[in-house]
Amino acid sequence: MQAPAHPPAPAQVLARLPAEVWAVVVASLAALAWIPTLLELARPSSDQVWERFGLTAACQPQQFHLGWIGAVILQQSGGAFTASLPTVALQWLSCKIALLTGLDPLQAFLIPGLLVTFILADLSCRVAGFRRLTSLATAFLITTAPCSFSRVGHLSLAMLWMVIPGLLACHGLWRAMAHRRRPLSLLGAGTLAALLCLPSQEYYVVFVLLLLASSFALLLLLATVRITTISALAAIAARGALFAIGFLALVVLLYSGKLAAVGLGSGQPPAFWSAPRYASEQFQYGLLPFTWIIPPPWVAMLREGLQNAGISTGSESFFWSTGSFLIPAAWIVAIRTIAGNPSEAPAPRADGLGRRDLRFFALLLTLCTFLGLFWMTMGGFGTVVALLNPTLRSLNRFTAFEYGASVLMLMALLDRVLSRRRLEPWPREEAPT
Amino acid sequence: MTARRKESVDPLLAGFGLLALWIAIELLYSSGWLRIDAILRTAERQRLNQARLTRVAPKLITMLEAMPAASRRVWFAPYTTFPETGVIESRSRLGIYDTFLTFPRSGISSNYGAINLSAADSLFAQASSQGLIAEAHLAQSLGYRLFALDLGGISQPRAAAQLCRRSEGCRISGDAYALFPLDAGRTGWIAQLKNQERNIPLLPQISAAPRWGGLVGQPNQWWPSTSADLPPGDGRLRLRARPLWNLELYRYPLAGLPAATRRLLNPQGLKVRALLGPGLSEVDLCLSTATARAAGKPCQVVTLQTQNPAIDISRWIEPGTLTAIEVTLLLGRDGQPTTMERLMPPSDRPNEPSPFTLEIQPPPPSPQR
Repeated sequence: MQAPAHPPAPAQVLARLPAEVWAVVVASLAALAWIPTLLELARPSSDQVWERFGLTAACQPQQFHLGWIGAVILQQSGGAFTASLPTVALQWLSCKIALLTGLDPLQAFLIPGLLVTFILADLSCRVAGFRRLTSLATAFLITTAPCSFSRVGHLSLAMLWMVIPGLLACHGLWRAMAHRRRPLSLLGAGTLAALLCLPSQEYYVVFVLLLLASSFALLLLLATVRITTISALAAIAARGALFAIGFLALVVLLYSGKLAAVGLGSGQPPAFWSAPRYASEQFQYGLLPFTWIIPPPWVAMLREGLQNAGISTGSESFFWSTGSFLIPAAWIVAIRTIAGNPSEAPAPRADGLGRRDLRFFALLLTLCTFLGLFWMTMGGFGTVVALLNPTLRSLNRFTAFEYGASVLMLMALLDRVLSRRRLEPWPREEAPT
Repeated sequence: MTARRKESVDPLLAGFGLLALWIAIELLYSSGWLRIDAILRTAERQRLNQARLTRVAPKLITMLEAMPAASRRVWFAPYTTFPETGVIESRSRLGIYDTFLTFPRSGISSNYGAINLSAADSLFAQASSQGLIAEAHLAQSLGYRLFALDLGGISQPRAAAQLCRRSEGCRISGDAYALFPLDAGRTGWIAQLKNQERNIPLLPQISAAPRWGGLVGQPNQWWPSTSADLPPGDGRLRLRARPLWNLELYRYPLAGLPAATRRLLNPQGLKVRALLGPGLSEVDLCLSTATARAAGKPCQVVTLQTQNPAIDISRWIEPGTLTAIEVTLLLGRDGQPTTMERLMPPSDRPNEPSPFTLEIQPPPPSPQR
C-alpha cells in the first residue's frame, strides 16, 4: 500500500545528500577546529624548535637536489624523526606548499598531515566494515583528538594518522584468524592493513607492532579456550602469521630507506632513537595514565592547581597530553559489551558491524588499556629493551591509542545502534533474509 | 498516528546525542577557539614588533653572516639545556638554534648543539645556573668571540639594551639579541650584567632553578621577588618562599663551580638573611644543617619576629650540602597561630603569599680579572 506523500523532513533531506558531500562537510568541520592552531603556528616560538629541525632542514632546496630518495635525504632521515618513504614524500610535499604559498613549514606540514589522517582513518574504517556515517565520525574524532592539539609543539606526535589504521590492523588480524581463507588473501589483507597504516612516524610504529603482537597472543590464548584439537589451533595461528607476514613485509619495504641508511652508516640506532640514558628518564617519559581521563576543560585548571600546591609538573608526561571524557565512557561501554549476553543471535555482517565486532573492540580497548598502564608506569620503551640496548629512548605515547580505541568502541556501538534502528543515511540494499 | 507520537526516544541514541554535545565542549576548549582573540592579538603584536625591529636593524643571522668567518663563534645566552619541547624562557628566539645546528656548514659555531646532558651540556648549564656573568666568562675562556644575549629571556631587557648601546662594539639585532663582543679589552660590559636574572618560565623543572652567587633554590619552591623596595643596582636579590612547610636550598661548594665563577666568588662574601613574611608576627624556621646535627640538635631554630624581622643565616647554609628549611610555626599579626592558606600575599605578587623571604647579598666581584 502506498503511503501518503508528505513533504520530506529536514533530516530526510540531509540524509539524501550524497556521501561525498557529507565527507566534505565533516572534513571541513575538522579543519575549522584546527584554524586557531594554524594561526598560532604562524608565530614561531621555541615550543616548536624541535620540529623545526626536521622541517626547515628538509625545506632547503639543496637537500633535494638528488631527488627525495637521494643519498642526502636518506642520511638526513636516518637521524630525523620521520623516515618511511611515504613520510619523506609528504614532507617534500609540505615543503613545496610552504615555498609556493609562503606559509610556515609547520603550517604547511599540518595541512596535508591532517588530510592524510582523516582520509586514512575513514578508509580503514570502511575496509573494517564500518558504515559510511560511523567511518566519517571516527575520522573526525581522531583528526580533532584533544591529545593531538596539546602536542602541536611536537608536530610528529600531533599527527595521529597511524592510530585508527593501526588499531584496525588488529581487527583485521582477528578477522583473518577467525575464518578459513586462502593464504594469498591473508597475505594481501596484511599488506592492505599495513598500507592503510602508511608506516610513518616511527614513534607510532613501535606501538602498532606491539599492539599487533599482543593481539595475536591474546587471540591465540582465547582460541585455546574453545578449540579442542591442536591442528585447529595451528591453523588459526598460521592464518594470523600469514597476515602478520604481509603486514611486516610492507613495513620493512616502506622503511627500506631508513634501514639502508642505518646499515650503510655506523650500524648504530639513528640519532633520534638513541640518546644517553639518564637516571630520571623513566620518570620523564613514564606514566601518569590518570591524565587519560581528564578532559580539556579541566586540564589547565588542574595543572595550575598542582603548580600552586608546589607539585612539580614539568615532566613531559604530566599534562602535555590531554585526556578525554570519551575514554571512561568507552570503558563503561566495553564492560557492558563484554558482560552482555553472548548467546544473543548475531546480526548479519553485511549491514555494518556485527555483534562479534563490538565484542572485539571491547577486547581491543581492554588490551590497549592494560598495555598502556603497563608500558607507561614502567617508564616507556627504553626500559623494556634496556637489557638489549641501553641507549634506546623511552618512547611513550599510549594516550593516542587509548583515545583511538575508545573512539572505535563508541563508534562501533553507534554502528550497531544505527543497524538496529535503520537510521543511517545512504542505507545499503536490503540483505535477503 | 497517535501511537507513533508515543514512541519514546531511544536511550542509546539520546546517550550519543549527549556525547556529541560533550565532544563539542571538549573540542571548543582543546582547539583554542575560546582564546582566538588572544591568539590574533599576539600574532598581530608579533608581526608589528617584527616589522619594527627588522626596520631598525638586520636579523642576527644576517649580522653574523656579514662577519669574517673566524669571528663567527657565538655564545647564546642565557643557556638552556638543549631545548626540549615545552616552555623555555624566550619567545623571541624564532627557531634560531636549528639554523646553527642543522647548517654547521654556514660556518657559525655556537654553544648549542651539545648533546643533551653530555659533559659539555652539563658544564654550560652549570655555568648558566650561576648567572650571566659566569656564562660570559665561560664563553670567553672557551674562545667564543661573540655573546648573543637574548633580550626576551632575561629579567630587564631594557637595561640590557641600554648597556649594549653604551658598550663599544655591541649591536642589537632585529630579532632582539644584544650581540656583545668577547674580545680582550672590550669586556667591561660583563660586570654590568650582575642585576640581570634569567626569566623564570612556567615550568621550573625544565628550566634552571632560581639561583644567585652559588645558591640554588629547589625548583617550584621559591620565586625571585620583583619588588621595588630594594635599591636598584646594589645586587641584592630577594627569593620568596612559596607557602610550603618544607623547602630546600643548595649552595654549591666552591670547587664544584666553573673556574670563571670561582674567580668571581668570595667564599666568605655571600650573605643570606631571612626576612619575616608580610602580615605575620612570628615565623619559626628549622634549618637542618650538618653543624646542627654535629651539635646533637635535629636542626637550627631561627625565629623571625616583628621586633627582629631579619636574621643572618649565612653560616647555616653550608656549601655542598642540601639545606632543608622547615617552617614550624606561623603566628598572625594578632599573635594567634595561622596556616599557609591564610597568609597574606606580598605587594608585588598578589596571588602568591609567602611565609618568609631570603635576601641574598652576593659577594663583591673579586678584582683579579
